[in-house]
Amino acid sequence: MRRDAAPLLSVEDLSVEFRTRDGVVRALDCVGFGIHRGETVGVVGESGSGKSVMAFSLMRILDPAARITQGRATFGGLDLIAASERELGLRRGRDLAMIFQNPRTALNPIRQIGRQIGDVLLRHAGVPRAQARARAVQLLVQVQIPDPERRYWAYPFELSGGMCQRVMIALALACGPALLIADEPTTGLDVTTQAAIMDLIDELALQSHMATMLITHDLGLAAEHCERIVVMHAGHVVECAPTAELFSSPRHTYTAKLIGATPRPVSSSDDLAAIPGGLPDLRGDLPPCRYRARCERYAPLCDGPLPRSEPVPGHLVACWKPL
Amino acid sequence: MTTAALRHARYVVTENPITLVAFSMLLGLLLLALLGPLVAPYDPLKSDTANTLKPPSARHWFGTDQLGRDMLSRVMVATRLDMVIAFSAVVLSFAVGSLAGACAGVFGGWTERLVSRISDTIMAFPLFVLAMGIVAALGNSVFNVILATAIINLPFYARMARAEANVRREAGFVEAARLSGNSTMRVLAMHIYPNCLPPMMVQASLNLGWAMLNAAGLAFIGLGVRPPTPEWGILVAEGASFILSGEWWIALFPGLALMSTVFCFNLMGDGLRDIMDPRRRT
Amino acid sequence: MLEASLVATLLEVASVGKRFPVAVRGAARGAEHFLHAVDDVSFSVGRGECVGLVGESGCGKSTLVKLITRLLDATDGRIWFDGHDIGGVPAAHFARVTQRAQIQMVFQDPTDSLNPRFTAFDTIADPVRRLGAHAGPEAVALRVREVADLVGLPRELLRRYPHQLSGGQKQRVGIARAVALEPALLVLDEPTSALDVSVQAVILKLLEDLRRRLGMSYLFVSHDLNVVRLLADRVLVMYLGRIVEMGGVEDVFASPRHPYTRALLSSVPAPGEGGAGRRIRLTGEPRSPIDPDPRVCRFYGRCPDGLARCTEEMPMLKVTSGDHFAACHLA
Repeated sequence: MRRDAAPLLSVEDLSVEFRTRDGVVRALDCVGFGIHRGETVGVVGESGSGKSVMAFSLMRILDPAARITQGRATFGGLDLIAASERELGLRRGRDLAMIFQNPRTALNPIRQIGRQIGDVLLRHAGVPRAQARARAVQLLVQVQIPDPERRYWAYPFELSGGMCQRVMIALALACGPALLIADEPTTGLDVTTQAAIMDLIDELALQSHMATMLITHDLGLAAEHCERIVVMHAGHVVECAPTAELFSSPRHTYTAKLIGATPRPVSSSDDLAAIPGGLPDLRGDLPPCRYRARCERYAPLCDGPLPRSEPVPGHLVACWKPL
Repeated sequence: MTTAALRHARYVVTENPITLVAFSMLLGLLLLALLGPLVAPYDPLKSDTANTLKPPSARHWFGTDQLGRDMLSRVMVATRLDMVIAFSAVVLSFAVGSLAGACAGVFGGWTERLVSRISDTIMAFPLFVLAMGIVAALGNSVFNVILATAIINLPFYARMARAEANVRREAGFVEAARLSGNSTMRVLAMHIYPNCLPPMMVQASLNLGWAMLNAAGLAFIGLGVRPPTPEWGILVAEGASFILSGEWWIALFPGLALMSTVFCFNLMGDGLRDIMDPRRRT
Repeated sequence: MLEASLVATLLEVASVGKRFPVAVRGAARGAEHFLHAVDDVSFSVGRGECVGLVGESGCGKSTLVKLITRLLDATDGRIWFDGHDIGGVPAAHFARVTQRAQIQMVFQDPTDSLNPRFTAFDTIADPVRRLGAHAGPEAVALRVREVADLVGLPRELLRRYPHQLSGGQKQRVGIARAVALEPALLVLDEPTSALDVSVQAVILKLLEDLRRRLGMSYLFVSHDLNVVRLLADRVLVMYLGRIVEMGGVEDVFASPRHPYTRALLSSVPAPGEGGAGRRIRLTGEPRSPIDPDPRVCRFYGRCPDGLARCTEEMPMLKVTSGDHFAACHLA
């Protein structure tokens, strides 16, 4: 069973800081989780929880003001955090790929999309120039873009948001990566387009046994497409469990509240739970548990260092008083 | 200005050392412009034939020119005229240009066509040549120099304001303003126009430098301000003929004054914008 | 028929359409082409009712909202509000009409919808000063504070500028501004889609609470079907400028009659219902809204069903049961 094999990606104790004019922002603090081959893991959290920062740290494309103060991210034997640019360059794009939130801005606006796919193939997959175009068209077919021969020559502005996202998926999957990081891939897209894109990612992942990290603020989306979910709050991982278990028996108050705040098909607005307070200020001194200020279960023992317990095998929670 | 605005202004100025330097220099220049004739050691117009073409010394820090006039005094007194010309031209240009541009951006149609065509016509000329033409046609006077400088700078403000207004026109708060019962004119005056200003402040500051160089340039070739009125452009022109014969100080010091003033204005650009923009207020 | 319904109906929209002239590449000179943003839309909103409007990008809901709030003039059709023909008043003059205060809007993007140079106080005071019957600055200030309390905005935040407020707080300011004059009809254009889930719940509850307290009618535009289900009594589904289905919200969601509505509902993430299996796939791209053929159903081509009749006769909204309408030959 997958679980016994070593994880494809293993993140441990990842901490990231940003130097800003108002002080040091501790965006991530000792974040850790693992993804196995072929698994789809959702990273869920509100804006400001650090999920995108975490993805950007793994790909090492953080803002220059950011500093990774500690941590390891072992991917196929290589520590992504400690690796040199050269070593990273060999993996990024080839074994490890990423797709971004706004597809139109993530593509080069003045270069035809087919050519952009060709660029990736030439650089990372070592495809000979003569075959690059054919391979690119093949990829366009794979991502279900209609009329691929003609669309090869299209510019991003000629395509709809959904199509641009498909192109980005083609770019990411060009070299058959082992892990795909999808950072809010469908935010801003229509519901029907969103469903189509997510189904496409699922299909392709299944075909090539590719692992996926789906970063989203939409709990419903994560629930539908992910096998396991990692819940983040203010730079911490607060809970990590298989999807069904997370929803049936959440162990962290925040997770329970998030589930309660998400409108579902059968509920009335009275059922909608609000989460009191707001994200803590990530500058300055922070208590060990960053959810402390908003938690109604707070007890003096919560002031101790944040524990990471596993009440049920495979279900991790960072709380002194799990539900 | 409210106390909060003043406090913010003080914060911006003290927080960034470059802004601090720029504003200190500006303060110095403004004081000099106000008090120039009072603090100048000698009468800038008084010639002293015994002391012509003397290099910088303890008595004459900037030396003397071909008529024995003290260069330091002349440079100091010239500050007032140059500053007046530069500020007046920019204020005039900014006011007329930004209003025209904002109206063009909001109303579109014939207003926009008119403003655009006028801007294009002005920009079709080499601007300095146009300024020369305007001053030559209207006559040599300080007012005409100001007018000419203002005219050639109009297109920049008009274009910027038009672009900014175009963007703001579609903004949610503009629609909300209309829903709140504001007439189109009120929406333009209270909502769109004030939001166009912050990006234009940097332009205005850079423009001050250009306006000053324009005026100096015109004076250099004999248009606008005439000798013996001290003005940096004229001083440089007078000194130019003496460089080859070795009297370098006559042209250098007014030139340095011009350069540092323009430099100061350029540095001020960002600082001004920070003060104007409430988004930077904390 | 119109007379009787005017008593209970607050807003009546009849065959409203909006066409924009567009330039088409490669077209003959002098040929006029039009983009049909809204086409033959008719519906009504009763007093105290919450009507949901759903549809995806390009369906025309933003344009329809601008027509109803009189920010834009319609090319066809009539709009009645409280018995008055407001469609007849040009948008540019609507600011001076008494009905202006009765139709207000809450915007989607809280950052974009607040003037960055106005404090929260100024923003909320603006409609009060312009349209309210209040005399003097004290009366205005009193009203602003009242409204701030009503929407749960702490009074000390009134002095702040938008960039000093959080997303939820900014949206409260937007809501306060909209309800300051107690409008009869409040149009909400995706009011919570730019907010975090935790804040969304609070704002939705606030909106429901306000509706009951102030007796307002809502036109609630959203792409999030789950949210619409929570708040709306009736729902309208739009596609490419036309209404394709209309009815009670539970009815439409439980038994959708138009293929587009069915596809839309099947796309909503619903955990535990076997995602991809139940998905109705829509093939291809939407038809062009420029000079559409008036005889062809707008959904033809993407529709999983489709008859020859769908290309010869545009389906009109017809009753399928009770007050549930669908514009489909197969419904």
